[in-house]
Amino acid sequence: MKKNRFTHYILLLVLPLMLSIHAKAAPITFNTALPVAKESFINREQFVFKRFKKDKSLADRDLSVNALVSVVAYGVNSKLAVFAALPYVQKDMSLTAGSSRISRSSSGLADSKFFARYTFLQKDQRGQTLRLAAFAGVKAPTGSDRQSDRFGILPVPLQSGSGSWDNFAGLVVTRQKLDYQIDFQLSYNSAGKANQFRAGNQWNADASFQYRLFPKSLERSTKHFVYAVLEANYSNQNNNRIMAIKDVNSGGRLLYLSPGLQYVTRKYILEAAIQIPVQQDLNGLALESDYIMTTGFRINF
Amino acid sequence: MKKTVMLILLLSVFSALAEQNNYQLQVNGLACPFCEYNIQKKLSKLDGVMSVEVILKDSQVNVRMQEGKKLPEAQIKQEITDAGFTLMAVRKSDEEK
Repeated sequence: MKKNRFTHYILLLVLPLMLSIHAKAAPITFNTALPVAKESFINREQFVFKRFKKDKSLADRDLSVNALVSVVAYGVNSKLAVFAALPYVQKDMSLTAGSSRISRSSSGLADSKFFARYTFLQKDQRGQTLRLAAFAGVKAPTGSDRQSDRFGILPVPLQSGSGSWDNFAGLVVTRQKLDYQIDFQLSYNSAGKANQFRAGNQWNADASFQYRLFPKSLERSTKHFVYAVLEANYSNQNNNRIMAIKDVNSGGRLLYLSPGLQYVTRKYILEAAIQIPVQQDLNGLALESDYIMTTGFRINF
Repeated sequence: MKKTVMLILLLSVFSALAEQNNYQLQVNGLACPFCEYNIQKKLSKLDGVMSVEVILKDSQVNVRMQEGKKLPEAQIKQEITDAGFTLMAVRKSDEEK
């Protein structure tokens, strides 16, 4: 009984966190409308470090999430591409319960995302392109949602997987020139229900500006670009629901600014960005974000 | 001696007649090195293609062919489309001869 109360307490404190892992393709923190060639693969590996420790509650929660996300994109044809994102996560949380400090953690395969993207507008000119694409997919409950520790079963947000099927869809527009690239994305995630828990549905709006720093001017033999990247990520999430009751300490609005760097070659891209929260208007005692560090590479096959 | 001269002459004529079909393509939509990889990959696998050079700043793709080999324009267009770009023009080029 004591264990159950304790688990419930933890659950209420950490429910605000919905740690979604996006499959990303050209900007560093979200998707793009640029093509995946017919019958070709792109592999992307991302290392994501998330830290949440600004806690308004007395529990002084401190949560870190490390994830390795493997994304494979395949071009069905020049317009249609399909993606699979398979994350492996390690979550660690410490908090004060009563007079003692406790830690809880989980690790393993997280929920995977499978989606398709169709480009329905393509305006190509010399050295530039404008593309508009729509995407839609599902998040499948491939991660474990039944992990436990000495305190009992872990609360939903600390599990590697959610147990639920989610649906998501969005639009992405990309304007690329030889000197710069701009991407905008609007997406919506509708969460399913599992284990008496339903995460709040979420709107996301993302923007990315990539400016070529090197080389200053292009030569016949230019094969490498270095981009300075600045991205913005806005999300607005509804309250989660536990046993159909609204959790007032969850959801809210969050805005990140994300400076980064990209090294682009014909065969691969190396990239890194740090997402810094510049506005957090979260509900109740929802745990605030400190930063998200993303680094990784992608390879053309 | 006469036979040798005739043979050399014949070989010279044959060599002059052997056509080297190189192509210069203008490809629109190409704006970063990561994108050019698939154009190179798709064109390089075609029969008779010796090399493919992409000049990003000019949106230009140079295709060097083996002697006597040709690439139909429709096939070039299909490969460029499959790579996700738009073929604007194809010109025969003598540049690499």
